[in-house]
Amino acid sequence: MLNCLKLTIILTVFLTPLSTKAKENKNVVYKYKKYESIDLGDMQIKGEIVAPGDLTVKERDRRSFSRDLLNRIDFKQESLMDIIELR
Amino acid sequence: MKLIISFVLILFPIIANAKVGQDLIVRKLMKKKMYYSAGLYLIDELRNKRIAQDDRVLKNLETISHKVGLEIYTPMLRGKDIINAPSFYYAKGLFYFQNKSLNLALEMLAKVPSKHGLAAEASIVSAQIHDQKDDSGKALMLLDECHKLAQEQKGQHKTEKVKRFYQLLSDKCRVHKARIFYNDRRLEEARAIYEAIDKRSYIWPHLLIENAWTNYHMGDYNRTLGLAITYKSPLLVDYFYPEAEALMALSYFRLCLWEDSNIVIENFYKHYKKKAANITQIINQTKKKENGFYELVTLSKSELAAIDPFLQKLIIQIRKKIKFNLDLHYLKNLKKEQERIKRFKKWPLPKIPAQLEELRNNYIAELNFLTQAYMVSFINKINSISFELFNIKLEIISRKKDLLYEKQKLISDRSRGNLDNVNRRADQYFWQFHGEFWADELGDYSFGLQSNCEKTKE
Repeated sequence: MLNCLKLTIILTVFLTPLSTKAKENKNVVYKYKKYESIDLGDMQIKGEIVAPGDLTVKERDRRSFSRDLLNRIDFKQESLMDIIELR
Repeated sequence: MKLIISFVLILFPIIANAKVGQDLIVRKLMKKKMYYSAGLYLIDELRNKRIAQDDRVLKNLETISHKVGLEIYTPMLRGKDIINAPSFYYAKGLFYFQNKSLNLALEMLAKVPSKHGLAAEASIVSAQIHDQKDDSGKALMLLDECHKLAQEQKGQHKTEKVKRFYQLLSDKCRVHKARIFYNDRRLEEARAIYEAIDKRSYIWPHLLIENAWTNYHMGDYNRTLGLAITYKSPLLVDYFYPEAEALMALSYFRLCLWEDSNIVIENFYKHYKKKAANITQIINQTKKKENGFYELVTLSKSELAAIDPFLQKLIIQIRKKIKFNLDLHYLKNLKKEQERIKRFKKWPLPKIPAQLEELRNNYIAELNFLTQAYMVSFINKINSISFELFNIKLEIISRKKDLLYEKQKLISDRSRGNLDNVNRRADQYFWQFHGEFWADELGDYSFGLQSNCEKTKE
């Protein structure tokens, strides 16, 4: 009898949290924020400014492309054709 | 012993008669001027080693190859057997050259004796081989020899056509020399040779463009323009070089006369675009027919003009080449011989008609291939020049943009053309040509334009 009682108490102690948790899970309602605003002006940045504040564009030289224009290096093809056309 | 002697006595007449029989056949055929049949018969006998290469046989072969061309040796060229005849050495040398066995070609060509009619040609082919091997010293030496031999041969012949052939060969040897100088950038020497070629030479119209390029590289853009514009003369209307237009545009560009350059480019597109499209269409239609290009090249001038006037001019240019003239001449004679054989009641050499037909087909196939190659090469040239001109146009736009960015402009408030701008040597001077045949001036034009490349502030 005493053993039965002990077993009952132990089971009650361990199983009761599970049953309450399930009930809790059922009762949880998730709500998402519909609107969130961040005030940037209110943000504080730590550190020192080392560059000037206004925007600059670094000047560079204009690139000019030079094309390989027509150039006759030799007349070897013409010489070869002369031989083929001999006879 | 008696058996051996009697055996020899029985066989000797047969062997002797066989040799006498072959010799008689060849002599009879040559007497009747049936040189193709004689040549094919001899080559067949030599290939099958039924006759030896004695002096008479070799002499007959030389005569035959002179009459019918070197095509007669075609059955022997691929094999290892050599006929000890100079014309065969030359034919074999050419065969090795075309198959890129250059050392074997040189060996064979060196065997042609210097007194032979083909010696000058052997020299020019050997020179070309040495040039391909970048041995320009040896090439130049052989070209000098070629020129000397061609002049000697010209002096030995009385027939006008043969004299003209050797003069043309002599001119070609000099031109090849000029091209080697051009390649080595010895431009003064190259120009001297181009200017020394007689204006009556068949090769002279083709040299204008090469001389123009030489002057271009020497920086004489005015003379380059003068040479390039010579192709617009009515006497040279059958000679068209799209490259001359590109060279004109380039010369104007170098003188910073960009608007003139643009005009040349626009005129090129207007003149050549439609013509090139028509010729391309004709090529595409003709290549579907067997030997279509051969038939095209044998049409009359009026028939060609009816198809396309530009095609007529292109075919005329192709027909002026030596190889075409020679091959058409040999083909005509071959056809005549075939007709004569057909009239025989009983032709004694059964293999000859089939061999003649094969030779005829070879000639036709070669002419067909060469015509197609020239036409396709011409269209490709127009397309590549068109691309180059587009490049020049882009470069002009680029330079104009540069000026805009720099807030500058080219100086243009000057007169066009002045005698002071003509570069001339001590032996060149302004000639009025009053009362002279106007075409004498061809090839000596020079513009007198001043360079427009000076920049000023806008």
